[in-house]
Amino acid sequence: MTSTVLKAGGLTKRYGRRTALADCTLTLPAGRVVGLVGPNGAGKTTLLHLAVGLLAPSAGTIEVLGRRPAADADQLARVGFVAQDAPVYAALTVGDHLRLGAHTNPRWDQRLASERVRALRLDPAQKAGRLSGGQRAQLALTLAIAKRPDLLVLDEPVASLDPLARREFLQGLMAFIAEHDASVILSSHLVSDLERVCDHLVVLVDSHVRVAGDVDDLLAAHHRLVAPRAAAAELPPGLEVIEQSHTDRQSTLVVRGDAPADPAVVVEQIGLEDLVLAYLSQGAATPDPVLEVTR
Amino acid sequence: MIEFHLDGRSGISPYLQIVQQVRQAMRLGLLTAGDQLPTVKDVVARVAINPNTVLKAYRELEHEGLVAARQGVGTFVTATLTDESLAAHEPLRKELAAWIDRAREAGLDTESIEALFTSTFRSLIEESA
Amino acid sequence: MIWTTWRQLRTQAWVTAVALGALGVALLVSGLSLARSYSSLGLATCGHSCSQAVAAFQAAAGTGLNGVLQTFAGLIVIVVPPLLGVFWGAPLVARELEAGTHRVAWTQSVTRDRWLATKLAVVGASAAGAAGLLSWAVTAWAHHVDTIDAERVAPSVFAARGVVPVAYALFAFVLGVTLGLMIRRTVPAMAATLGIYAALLFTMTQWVRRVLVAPVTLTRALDVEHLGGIGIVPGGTMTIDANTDDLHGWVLSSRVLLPGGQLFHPAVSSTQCGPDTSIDACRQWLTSQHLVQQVLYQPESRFWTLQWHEAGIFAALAVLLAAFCFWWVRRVA
Repeated sequence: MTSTVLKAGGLTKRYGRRTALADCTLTLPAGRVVGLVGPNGAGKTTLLHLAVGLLAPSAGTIEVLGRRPAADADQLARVGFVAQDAPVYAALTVGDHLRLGAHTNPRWDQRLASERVRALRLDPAQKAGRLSGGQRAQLALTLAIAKRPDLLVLDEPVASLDPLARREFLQGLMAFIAEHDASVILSSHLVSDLERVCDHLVVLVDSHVRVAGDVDDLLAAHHRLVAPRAAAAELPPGLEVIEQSHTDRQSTLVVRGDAPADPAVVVEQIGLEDLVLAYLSQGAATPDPVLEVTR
Repeated sequence: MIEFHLDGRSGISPYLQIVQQVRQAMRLGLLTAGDQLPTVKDVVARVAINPNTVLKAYRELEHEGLVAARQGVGTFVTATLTDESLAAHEPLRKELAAWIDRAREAGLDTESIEALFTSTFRSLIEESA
Repeated sequence: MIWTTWRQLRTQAWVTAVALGALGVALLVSGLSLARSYSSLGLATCGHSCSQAVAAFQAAAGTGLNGVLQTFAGLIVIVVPPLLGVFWGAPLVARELEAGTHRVAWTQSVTRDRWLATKLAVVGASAAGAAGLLSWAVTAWAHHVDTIDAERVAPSVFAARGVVPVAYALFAFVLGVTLGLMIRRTVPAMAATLGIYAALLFTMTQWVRRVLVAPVTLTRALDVEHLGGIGIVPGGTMTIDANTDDLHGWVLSSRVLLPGGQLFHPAVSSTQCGPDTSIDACRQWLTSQHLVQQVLYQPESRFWTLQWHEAGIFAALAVLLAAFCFWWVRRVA
């Protein structure tokens, strides 16, 4: 098994004149739960569709588990996917979906699939079109994990779910990866959805990758500084200012780098949600700077 | 067996919350040497967190010498934190209650009492650290 | 993949099978009664010569269940291929694209090419099979009627017999799949399928089939005694409609020519042949002109040649469209 689950170089996708993903260079380590965060329309779905081979790149390269996405049946078998809004065949029953999975996937784990259906209390005879949003998402997840992929890709899996269904979905997902060694990439426009489950984060804004890295490293590398305006103006070099706001006396900054030793500067830890928000607002204020941090 | 619960608003990282909850349970005598901790799968299936977070917490506890992992079986408590300190709890609690009563008599309201306690507690901990 | 394809076709397949089964029973009942009439009237031996028996047979074929089938069986064979295109072909991929389930289908361990190939093969073969069964049943049922009428190459009958319905069905199905793939919406794809299929079949019947195999040109002396009609515009020109009833086949054109080969299109003459002259005088004058009848037609004997040619064209179109589908499906996300 490779140590890299996804490797993209200069990856670009254009639809006509609109650029959905621009010059994305990214390396995602294996064995992680990678959160892909960004506002709606940032290019998350495009990146995930490129990763599972539903789309072909306009420029650049992408390798998933060391190979071109959807190159052949073997590559398809190694990647599980749940598309946005968890589409299922409305006219087919829950049981039909499992048979469909069994017939189209050589690595299909029938025991895992039926156990999950039982645990979720889904009726195998029920038409998938009559399931609730949460049940549909769980069925789609069952289909994706029972093919026993090495990589599971989920596009906004919990966005349309109510809080209870959201938690149940993530419980099922986490139980799967605790038991089977699979990498996961999941997207969301809400950091709070991903905070507990992700250990690696990619922030995508305006079709560009803003920041990427292990959550622990990102949290350790970023600080919030509260300082008098004068002190804030003389920060040591090497500190990268992600976000700043000023009153006439005081400055509040989110920075990346070692915290300054200046006693006038109050250094605070920053939470994941605030960290991501800092990058998102940076994207809104300055349209162009491309910051890529890859490990 | 104990169950973990995570507080998303506490500001304490999930892995640390698990470590603290195990220590707490050991201090209160809920977990003693030989008891098994919930498996990683059970924890994540219950609280929906990344399995690596649980593994990290268990590794930390192992590092502290409180638990030991047995390959293919699970993680077991190896130490006991209750010992004689548990016996000291009750008299200490009574003293603290008496102190709170005195603070009330001195005219402090609930918030002031809490602030005074917290700030004193923090500064003492920081001094000793 | 084959199971999946079958499972998704199940409802349509059942509806089609039940409808075909019901029609089959009706055709069997009617066919047996027609066969009895044919043999009891002795038509097997005397053929066209015994006009009374022919009339009796045609009367029997035109009443009751026979009559209903006479009206509708051919029509059903003609409409089934476009219906297969509309209800089996157009939704096949469009419904997946519309509901987003192609994202499920294309991320199972089956490549997109194989997915499309299986769908086209399984459903296409079923559509061709259904149309073939239907056409065979109607062709067999109509055997005696067709023998008597001897006009299987006429457009209204041609498309409802033999192998062309199979090719039509195959083409209509692949056309539906292609349009569904491109339009990505089921209902518009259905409408487009119907429209394009109808336009193409009309073009085929009106212009292509006539010259698919070079038609036979028959030149013979004009039989003045059995004219189809004489058209006279007072003070204008006259036209003569020659009779072609004795020719078995599909008459494409019939012209009356002068011995020199020029089109016979004289000005009306009041003394030789006009509103005031008698029909006999007119005939006499026409005979003196030594007129020639030139007929362009596809004889009845060409039925199978034309069938295979046309079936070949539609099958080839279906193959081309299928190849286009494989190219196009890679571009869809």
